Amino acid sequence: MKPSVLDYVRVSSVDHALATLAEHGDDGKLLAGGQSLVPMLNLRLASPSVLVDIGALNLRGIHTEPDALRLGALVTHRQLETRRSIRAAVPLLADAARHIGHTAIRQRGTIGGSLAHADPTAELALVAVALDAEVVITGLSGARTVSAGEFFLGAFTTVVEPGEMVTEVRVPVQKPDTMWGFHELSRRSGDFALAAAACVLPVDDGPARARVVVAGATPTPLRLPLMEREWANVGPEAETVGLARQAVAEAAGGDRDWSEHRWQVLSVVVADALADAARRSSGATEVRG
Amino acid sequence: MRIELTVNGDSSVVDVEPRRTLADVLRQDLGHFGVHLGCEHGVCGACTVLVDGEAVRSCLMLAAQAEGHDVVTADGLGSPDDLHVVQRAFNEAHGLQCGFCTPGFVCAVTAMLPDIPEMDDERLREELSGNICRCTGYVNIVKAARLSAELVAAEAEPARVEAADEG
Repeated sequence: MKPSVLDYVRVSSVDHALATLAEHGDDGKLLAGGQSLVPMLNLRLASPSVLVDIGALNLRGIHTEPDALRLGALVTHRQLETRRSIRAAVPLLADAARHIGHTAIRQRGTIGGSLAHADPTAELALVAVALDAEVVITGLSGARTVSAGEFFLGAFTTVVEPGEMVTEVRVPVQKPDTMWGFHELSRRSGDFALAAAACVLPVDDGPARARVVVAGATPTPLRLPLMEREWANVGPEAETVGLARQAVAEAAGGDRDWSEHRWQVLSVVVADALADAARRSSGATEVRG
Repeated sequence: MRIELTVNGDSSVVDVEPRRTLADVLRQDLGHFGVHLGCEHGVCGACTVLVDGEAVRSCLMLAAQAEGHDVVTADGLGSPDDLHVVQRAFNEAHGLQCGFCTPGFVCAVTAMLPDIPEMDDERLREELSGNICRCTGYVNIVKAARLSAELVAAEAEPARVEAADEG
């Protein structure tokens, strides 16, 4: 199919974008890389009457500060994957990005677009929560900063209000006294993830707090407090998988009538993320997964 | 709306509805029927073209978004009398059968060409996994990608290749 009839505005500044959104209200939709939106237009899953193309905006900056990386909303997944400065400061973010779709998609897709789209299994949403990143949202009345943990409200739903846009993402630099792991399960390379998990863990009883997050269990990335408390106390893989299952059940809450397959996918992906952290911190050769 | 597109080095002004994708405008307004449509939602890679030298799915770009950028299609990389090295490699390695996926693969391989020498086979296959082929089973496509990089290296250092042959 082809997209339905729409008007197109290529804006030249954030203010111009916000004014255009304000003018069109619910009929307007921002277009950044288009790797999520254009398929929806082509399948007529979305039919905004006005597309506001923000591709020309100066939101592509990558600034390394002592404690944080500041990324313009239009920084692409390909840049996250390949830039040495990003790989050095936030290797979990760089590693997650290379799992997104395929190279051609990563060439166009953006971090702001991915976070604003809020797909429940999106890699960047997952690691934004794992890394305690902050999202800067700009509206006509100014900018506000929201932590990743509070940014996502539900499937494809965030705290970004009509008339606002994501302009920057700030990611704390990963500390040397932490180790990190990431794992994604998908049927084929480049497919949407069945589930994915990320962890940042203290090394050697360091003061850092553990963060273990899973995507694909609930509509938004899910912290696993039980795993964050107990991860160091489980040894063999089977125990870790068992603890992961408990942790997911506890965190997701409610009566989950998931299939056994679903339980296993979620438990194993969490265990694999922890194993990935252990392998990386022990200096083992990187296993491509 | 009127947009100016630079395709294979030539600049054209087209007057198209804003909802038209780059793929459709390349095909129907500019005659590049070598740009193929397989899925129109970004999963098959048949529509892959080069935008500023990088592989992009043209079905996921509005034509308007390509204004101000350099677009290259497979048919713009070379001609039958003057094949691009990747086209020559696909020919010599028989990296195609029906040819439907081929322009997309040729553009994708062209974009990754500088990085191929560092890739082991598993990595190369992963890089190629963004393009689907229903005919070949991919074996000769992987060979063609590998051969492309070898042909580039040979063209860059012909003296060294000759010396190696003599050794």
